[in-house]
Amino acid sequence: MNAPIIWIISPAVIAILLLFIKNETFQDYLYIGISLMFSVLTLFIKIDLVGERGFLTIGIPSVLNILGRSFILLESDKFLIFLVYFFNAIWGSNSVILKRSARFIPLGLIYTAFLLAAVSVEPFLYSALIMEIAVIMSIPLLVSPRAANKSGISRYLIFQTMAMPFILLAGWFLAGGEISPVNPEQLVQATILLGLGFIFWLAIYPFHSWVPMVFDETDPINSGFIFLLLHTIYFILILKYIDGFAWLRTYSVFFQALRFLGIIMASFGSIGLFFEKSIRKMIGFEFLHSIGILLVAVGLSTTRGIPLFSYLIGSRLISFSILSWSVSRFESLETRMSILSFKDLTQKRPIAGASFLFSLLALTGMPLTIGFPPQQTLYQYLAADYPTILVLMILSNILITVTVLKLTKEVLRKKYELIYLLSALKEDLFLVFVITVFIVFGFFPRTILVRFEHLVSGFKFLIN
Amino acid sequence: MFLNNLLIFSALAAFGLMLIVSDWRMRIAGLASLYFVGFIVILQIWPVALASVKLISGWMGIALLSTSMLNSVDQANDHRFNSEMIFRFLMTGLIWIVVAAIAPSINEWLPIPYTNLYIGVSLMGSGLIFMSLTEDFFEIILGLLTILTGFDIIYSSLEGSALVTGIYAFVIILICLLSGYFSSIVLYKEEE
Repeated sequence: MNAPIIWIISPAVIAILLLFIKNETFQDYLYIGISLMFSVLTLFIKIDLVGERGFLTIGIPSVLNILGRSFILLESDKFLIFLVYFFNAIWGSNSVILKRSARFIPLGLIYTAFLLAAVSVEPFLYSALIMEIAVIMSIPLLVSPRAANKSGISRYLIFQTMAMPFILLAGWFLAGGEISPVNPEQLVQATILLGLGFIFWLAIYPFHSWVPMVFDETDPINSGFIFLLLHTIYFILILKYIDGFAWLRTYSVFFQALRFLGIIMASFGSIGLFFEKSIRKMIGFEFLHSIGILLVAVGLSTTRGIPLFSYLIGSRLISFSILSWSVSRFESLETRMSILSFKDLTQKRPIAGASFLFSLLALTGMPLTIGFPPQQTLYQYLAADYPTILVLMILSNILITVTVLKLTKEVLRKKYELIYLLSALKEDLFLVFVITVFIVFGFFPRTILVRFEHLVSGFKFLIN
Repeated sequence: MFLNNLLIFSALAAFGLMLIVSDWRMRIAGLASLYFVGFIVILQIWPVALASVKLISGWMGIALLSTSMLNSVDQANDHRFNSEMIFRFLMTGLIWIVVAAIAPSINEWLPIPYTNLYIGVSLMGSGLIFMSLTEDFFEIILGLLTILTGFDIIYSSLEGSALVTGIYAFVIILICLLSGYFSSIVLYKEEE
């Protein structure tokens, strides 16, 4: 028994077994329980344990060898493992509580297993192939066979598949350059190939068109689950590349490009969100905006940018999850709703409306939200070195804030009776709980965000 | 030399067949021929056992594609306008000429046999054109598979890992399975 067998192979096998369970409710509960079990296991199992073993502590090796290549999950990867399985459990619970049928149950476990396999494969340049499998597997989890429109999904498949050749070729170029420097010409070629691969992976301009389209074509409970996980892993892989190649860490043009592309994405996302009428597409544009912010953070100097990145990705995971859940809650009334009917929908689902607006504010880094401290730190770093990017970043966040204020104004025009609000509270008790916890996190953000530092603790060249 | 020219000509002819005909069976036959040409090209570098994985996985994928198309009601052989065919063919011809022009400089980057490079890059470019001129999911899958075949020829010339070969074969089969998944959408629509 070793770590990859426990957290990669077992979940995949269990997911297949879960397919045979006909009772959907039972299947949902099992999915949640098993995901929770895999996340809790990270607390009791020590990988490559040296020295004394505690009571209830199990020691296992970290390596699984397959066909001459290794899958390695280290002690430093345990937070990521905990995070992805906890994410599965929370999203599974939500689909049950919000009574939305989630397509990711039970195959989401295989999807998660492939994502972890991509992170753990050595040499890590092969991760592009495994990510491609995860992408293909995600398509049935996103789209129902009855879906009429699938042009966004087609583009998603095409662009993600196009990334694979570039990353594999870059890997071949760099195979000899992990320690020794490659010649300047090779460096430029490899950076171009790697950069193109990352651009396709992260849906960076001009290959971003599929994001709002896919969000429009799919239920937010599915799209949120798939893309939040997928992009978190993409960012971890990009950090792994930067950590793995000494020359890449010191290649300033690469970081310049990340900052440049990041601010383009943040601006594009916020402009799209400002002018968009469809609520589903709005969350797609917000997704692009948050990718941009993360890219800018990674593009800062490694010592400052990487810990900040871990806080930003933590706040983004929480805020974006609540954003998707609130839209999903709205959709129990009307699918593919427009912003024009937001006032009426909020009357029927006031808690979902509040969660929607509050999570958008958190994603822009408003004070007293969980997004504030990392966003504030990002502003500070940008003010010191890159004022132009700072101005554009603030403008992009202002655009989203104005959109939220516009929506709030619409909502406040209507009077709400207390009895009605109380009944709504009872109906959306779970969202009430989530939003309360969310607000508490806004007051004490470090309590939770500091844990996300473990996400990057394995990248020893990036954090020291 | 003769074999190399024959291989280049066969690859372009197989893709030309996919491009010009409307019948899905003929297109799939074109793709199967592409896989066979790819196999012969890779056979010059790799041992038979490993090279045959490429051929077998490709043909397995083709079997899946054919089965899904047979079960689908969306298999009407829509007749295309001659002008569209000419446009597609000219675009692809242009790609082949451009590749012929830039292949020597790419060859400085990628030290692989010229035949492999020309076939690989031509197929990648042609697949891209094929895929970008349609909204039909089946054609998109054919285009993607053509791109992947082209890349496979190039990458196999650079690296010969058993794990990569295995995962690559799995990717090809999964993409073909996706086509089956979406052809079931058509069946659902008919039932409604």
